[in-house]
Amino acid sequence: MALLNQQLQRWLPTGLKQFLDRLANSDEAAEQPEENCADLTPEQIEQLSEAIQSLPNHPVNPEAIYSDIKAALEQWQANPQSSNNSLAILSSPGVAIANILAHDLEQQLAGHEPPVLVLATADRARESHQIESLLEQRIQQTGADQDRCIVVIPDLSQCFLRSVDGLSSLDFLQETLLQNPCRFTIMGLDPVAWHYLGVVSHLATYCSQELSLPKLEADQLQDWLKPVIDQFQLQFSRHSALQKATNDSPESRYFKELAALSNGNRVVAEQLFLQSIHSANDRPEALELGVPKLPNLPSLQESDNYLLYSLLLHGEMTLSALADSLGEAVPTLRYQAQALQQSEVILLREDRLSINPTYDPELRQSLALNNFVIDSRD
Amino acid sequence: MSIFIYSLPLAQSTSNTANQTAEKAKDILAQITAGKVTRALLIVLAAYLAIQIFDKLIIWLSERVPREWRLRVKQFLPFVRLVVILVATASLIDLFLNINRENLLAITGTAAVALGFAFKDLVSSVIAGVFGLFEAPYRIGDRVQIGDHYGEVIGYGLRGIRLQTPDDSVVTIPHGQIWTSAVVNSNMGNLEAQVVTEFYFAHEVDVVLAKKILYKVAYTSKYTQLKLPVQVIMQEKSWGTLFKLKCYPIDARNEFVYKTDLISRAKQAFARHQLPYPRLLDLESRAQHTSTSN
Repeated sequence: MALLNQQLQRWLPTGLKQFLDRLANSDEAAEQPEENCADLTPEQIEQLSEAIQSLPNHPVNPEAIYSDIKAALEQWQANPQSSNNSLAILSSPGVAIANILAHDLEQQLAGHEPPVLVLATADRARESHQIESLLEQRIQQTGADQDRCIVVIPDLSQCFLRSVDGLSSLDFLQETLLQNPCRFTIMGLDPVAWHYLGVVSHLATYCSQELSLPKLEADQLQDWLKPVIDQFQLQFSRHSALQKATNDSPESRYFKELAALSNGNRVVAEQLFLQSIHSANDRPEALELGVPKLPNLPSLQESDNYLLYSLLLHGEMTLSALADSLGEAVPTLRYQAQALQQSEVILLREDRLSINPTYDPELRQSLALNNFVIDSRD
Repeated sequence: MSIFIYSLPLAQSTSNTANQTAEKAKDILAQITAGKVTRALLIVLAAYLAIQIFDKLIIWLSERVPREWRLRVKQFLPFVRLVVILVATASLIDLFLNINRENLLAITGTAAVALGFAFKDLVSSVIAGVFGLFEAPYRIGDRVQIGDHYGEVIGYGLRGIRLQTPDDSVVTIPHGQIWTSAVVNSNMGNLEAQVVTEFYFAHEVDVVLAKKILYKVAYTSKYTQLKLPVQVIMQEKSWGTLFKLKCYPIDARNEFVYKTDLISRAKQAFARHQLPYPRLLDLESRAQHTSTSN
């Protein structure tokens, strides 16, 4: 029966599957009581957030990623004049890979010869015509213009903007780094940005190798979040929604559900994990993990889709950069962004807008169905 | 003489047939009662309401499904209308006419003559509409040019189609036009339709730079469908150089907003790079020439 259901799911068009999923979720939602971190105090939420932030950047043993990077480096060093001098690491949202590349990789390859130089890509230039000169400046500051080195660009999405002037930085990077066999370039970015670059520039063509950050399994998430569970003595809910016809423990069922909903994405999983924590019904002082749930995407206008695609493409951006990329006036866009903030589809942190990770999986599917160049499986 | 002998029985049989047909028609008319008329009116009303409800429902649904299904849903509309009209017509015929071979012969004979003269154009359009459903020179949601009229097909009726023009007028065009006029369909059921935007420069323009800017303009517009090709082609004219940017919006509905966005982005870039526009009337040099001659 389960096999038949799987076969049927495979045959159904994505949109219909989404529609049926929503129906199923709405039925489940009707069955279950409202369980999320809404009943926690702000102090409890802050403590939990801090505990999650203190976890390692990636639940998977990073050795798997580093071994691929080292293999690519060895190949390049063995044949220094070859064009195999770049590697793109795809992950969504791009924040996770940016952290790994910006911090962990530098430590991992400490003392490596040639030296590893990390470009600061945390923020984009305010004006699109300044992106190229800022990149040039940063390359000089880090010494990435020297003869032989490994250049790490943690978040390539911050190195360009979808505007006429904002794309010229890609030509600059291509000429400065990728066309020079003496330099090996490692770039981290979201698959949406990678698809876009594949269409609009030769940068993707010059990039010789690409690898995707592996999706997380239930047991990996379980091991990764264990310190938080132990620290706060979180209990697993025995809720009916997780009482499937299996012999799994509530803990195991919870993490299987979490891995499936987050599509193996660390950032989404940590948000869903946080939102599923609530006070236990019988003991209000104790905390319990309820059923992880993806929120339903609110209904979006056509103009919202364009705005959200831009945010997926660039990861994080200021309102003025967003206006520049969409060819809109800032005041018009401010109103639209505020409406999306109120519905919690986008977040605003330190004047930078980004997609709320919990909406990320459904949003990608929705945009793919609305004819945007996006692979909903990413 | 022999011709007269043979033609006499033929004339008699024709006159008999005409009399029989007239008798049949009288019998049929005699069977029309107030009850039947009331039922007929109810059938017509039900058909009208059903068409209105299906129209509203399909349009409502098409605007709420994911964009890639929009046109597929809308294209159900003419088929649903046709089914409703056929069912209503069959019900009315069944109500008033006891259909058998003789009745059918009598009615079709009379109707064919009447229709042939009075409703020639209407029947031609209805038949063209039915042909159009299967041949599909245009479908709901397509952007078409028929004669001098261009716009999106927003309605597919029994007699004709309704086009929404760029200036938001609605033009009704009889289906019969497809017998005689060329139908230019920009998207043939697809969501995307190619948009061609023209840019004009002086002969001395930096061609490489102008092409580079135009490609970037297309790739950076939020409306551009990146799955489809972008092309820049050039033509040399007596007054300067014509560049044509050919690209596709994600949704053909945005054709004019898209064009505006492309022109707006392009003009900003041209201004930054000071690309020279053609001068049809070189007023400056004329003024100089006049002042020197004076």
